[in-house]
Amino acid sequence: MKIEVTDLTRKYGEFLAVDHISFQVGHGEILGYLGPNGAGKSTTVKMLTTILPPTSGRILIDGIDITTDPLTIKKRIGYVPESGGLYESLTGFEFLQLVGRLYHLEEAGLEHKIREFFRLFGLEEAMHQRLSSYSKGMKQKVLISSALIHNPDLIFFDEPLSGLDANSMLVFKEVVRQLAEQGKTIFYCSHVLDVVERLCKRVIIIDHGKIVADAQVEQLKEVTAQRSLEDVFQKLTDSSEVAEIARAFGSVIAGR
Amino acid sequence: MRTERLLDWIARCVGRLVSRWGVDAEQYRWLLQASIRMDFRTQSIVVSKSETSSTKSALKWTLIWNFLFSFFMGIGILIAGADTFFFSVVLLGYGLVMVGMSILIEFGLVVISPDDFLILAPRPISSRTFFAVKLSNLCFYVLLLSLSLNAVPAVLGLACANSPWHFPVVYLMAAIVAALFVAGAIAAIYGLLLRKIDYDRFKDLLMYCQLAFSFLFFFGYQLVPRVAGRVSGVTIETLWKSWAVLIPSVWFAGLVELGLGHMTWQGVVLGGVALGTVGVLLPAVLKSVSLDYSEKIGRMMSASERVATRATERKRPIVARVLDRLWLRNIERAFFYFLIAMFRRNRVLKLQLFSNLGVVFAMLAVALLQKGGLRNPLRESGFEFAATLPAMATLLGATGMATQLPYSDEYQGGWIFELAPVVQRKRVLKAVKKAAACILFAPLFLITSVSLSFFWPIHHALLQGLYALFLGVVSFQMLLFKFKDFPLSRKLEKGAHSARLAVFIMTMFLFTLVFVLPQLFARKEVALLVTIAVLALTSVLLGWWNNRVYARRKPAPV
Repeated sequence: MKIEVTDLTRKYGEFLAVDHISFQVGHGEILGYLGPNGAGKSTTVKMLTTILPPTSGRILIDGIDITTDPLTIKKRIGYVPESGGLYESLTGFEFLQLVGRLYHLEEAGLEHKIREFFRLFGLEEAMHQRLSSYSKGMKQKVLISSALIHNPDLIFFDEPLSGLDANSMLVFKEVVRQLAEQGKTIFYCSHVLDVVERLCKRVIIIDHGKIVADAQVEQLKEVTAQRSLEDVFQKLTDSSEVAEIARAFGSVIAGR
Repeated sequence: MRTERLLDWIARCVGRLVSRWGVDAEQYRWLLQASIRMDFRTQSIVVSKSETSSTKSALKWTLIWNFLFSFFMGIGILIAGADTFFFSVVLLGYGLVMVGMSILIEFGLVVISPDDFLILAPRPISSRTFFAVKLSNLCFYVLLLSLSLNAVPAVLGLACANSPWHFPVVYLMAAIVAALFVAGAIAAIYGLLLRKIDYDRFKDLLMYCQLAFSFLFFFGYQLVPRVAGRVSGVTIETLWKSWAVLIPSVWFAGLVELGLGHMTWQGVVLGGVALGTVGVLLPAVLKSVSLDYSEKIGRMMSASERVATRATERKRPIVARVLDRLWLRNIERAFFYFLIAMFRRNRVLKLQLFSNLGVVFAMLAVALLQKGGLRNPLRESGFEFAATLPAMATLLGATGMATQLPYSDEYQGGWIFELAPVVQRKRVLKAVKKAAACILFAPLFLITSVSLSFFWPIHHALLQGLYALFLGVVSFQMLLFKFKDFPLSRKLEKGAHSARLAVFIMTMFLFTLVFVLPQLFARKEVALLVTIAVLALTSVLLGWWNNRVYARRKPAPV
């Protein structure tokens, strides 16, 4: 699926969270969407997933305007939100079953799929326990499963690795790569820059609601004469006094 | 399992029916079942067969109270000699008010829930389906409540002079239609409100409605005796000529009359209005509301995500600094300022607190309306309303504060207390008491004493204020025996309000003191002083005891 964003803007009162941004994401591409806290990443994702209406601008997904036909788009997208997104008094199995049923998945196939998700994520024993008893990482695995259960063509990940253990992270990164190989479009929001560097060929960096960079990772390194994406990010988002800030933190914690 | 299968069958049938209006029958079926299942589960992490959610237990108590109150109400109206029409007007009216109050207090967030929206918004669920599920979830509770409120009157109504054998069936059917009217009307109003206001304002509005209903509940007893005296001789013809035809319960009583075969042209008109409202007007409004329901919730939710405004740093007042030094120890200080801040800044808590202060003025107004209601009990013999006024206000305040203490909509921050090294748990309770003294009891004492001093000598007003203060403190100390959590650390689940009402009713015996004690000190200042001293001593002893109990208790799992 192809995403075309034109002049997208979102205001909260007088505050401009996303400021006239435009970009495109191609079929089967993994796009890294980066930015410091409060830069407007999650707001962009919420608009792309039709949760939040834009103040102005246009979003086309496979040529369909998402404001005119949101249901058709929603059937084909998957979304792993940054936080929340689970009914905690349901069991993991019940939650995925509900989600699958909302997408009209066939019952027998759905049950098999859910069991497989739990097995692959190593959660078989917790399958019939309440989500409120799950750890953060376990909940994240259920959220990821719920985003993939209906085999979407476009997947939005907003900090998907949050709480995952090292092995699960490795598995997840490989899954993302294979999904892209299958032709699925991946929109990947994260603060974990080395993961983004390894997964994505292209990144968009957003700061104060505006796009400050949109290029291939290698190109960005070249243009900014930096060795890693982390250095590029620091340079483009004015966060170069890291060491100084860390020292100041140390003093505050020690009460000096 | 049998209940689940029945629920599935109902959801499937209703789903098929509403699919004619653009609702996805399958999604409706699964979402409705999931939402009802979740309502009846605890927030506890442990799954057990014997679990009882607060919703379940609160619902159970609400149903029991409804059976009891409707029984007494029905008997009262029968003794007054009402015919089937007036019997239906009063009992259906009572049922409508109670159902409306329950929706506003307990189930308002069934229709508009931010959590639901965040989970379901990215899924392919149409606005109509989402709205239909919400409305059906609400109707589920409304039907339960309505049955509990009307089952007893349906049988009692057989004793009305002109009642035929099939009264119970007709009455119950009319009651169900009336309950659906309330649910539909409130959902439609919510839907229309969504177009105008943001989520914070919506919650404020709900709180104001709750306050209005609370006042109606507590002061309704002033109206009941006045109405009861006029019951005899009221018929459909006499009511027809008054403004009473605007009251919905009159329309539905007209419907009952039609069902009973009591044909009058007034009955036909009233019944027609009832059916027209439920069958034509409400569906039209709901159809319109459901079209953009999801979109409006999305807009409302995003409008609440406000950007923090510039904070201004304030210097702490001298009184606070002195209190800090002399009155509070380390752990106490943390909890004390936490409570003060929450009650100052959290809109919901603030509104609940202020309503307690408003009770004094409301009761003063009632006393002024009553002939001789403000006679000074220390000067004149005879029991008057003024003797109960200050004590009622502090008792209501104490119950309100004690039952509110575990809950907050910011409960998620409560984990910090579990983590903090609170060695002496009794210090937590002491901080709670000191905060309650500052934000509730001291203002109540001042307001009561100052208000009464306009009518009585100042020292009498002060004595009455002190008496009320200590009676309030005694009740607060008693209610704190039930308190085992950290303050404001629990989620306000559906049904918690009813549970609080049950606690309130359990403390009703304290309210009898409000009427008994003034008899002891009527025209006797010394007796009042002794009463105050006894109450003060009792509160100290109870305080010492509940501190110990709280120190030994473990909070319920969050």
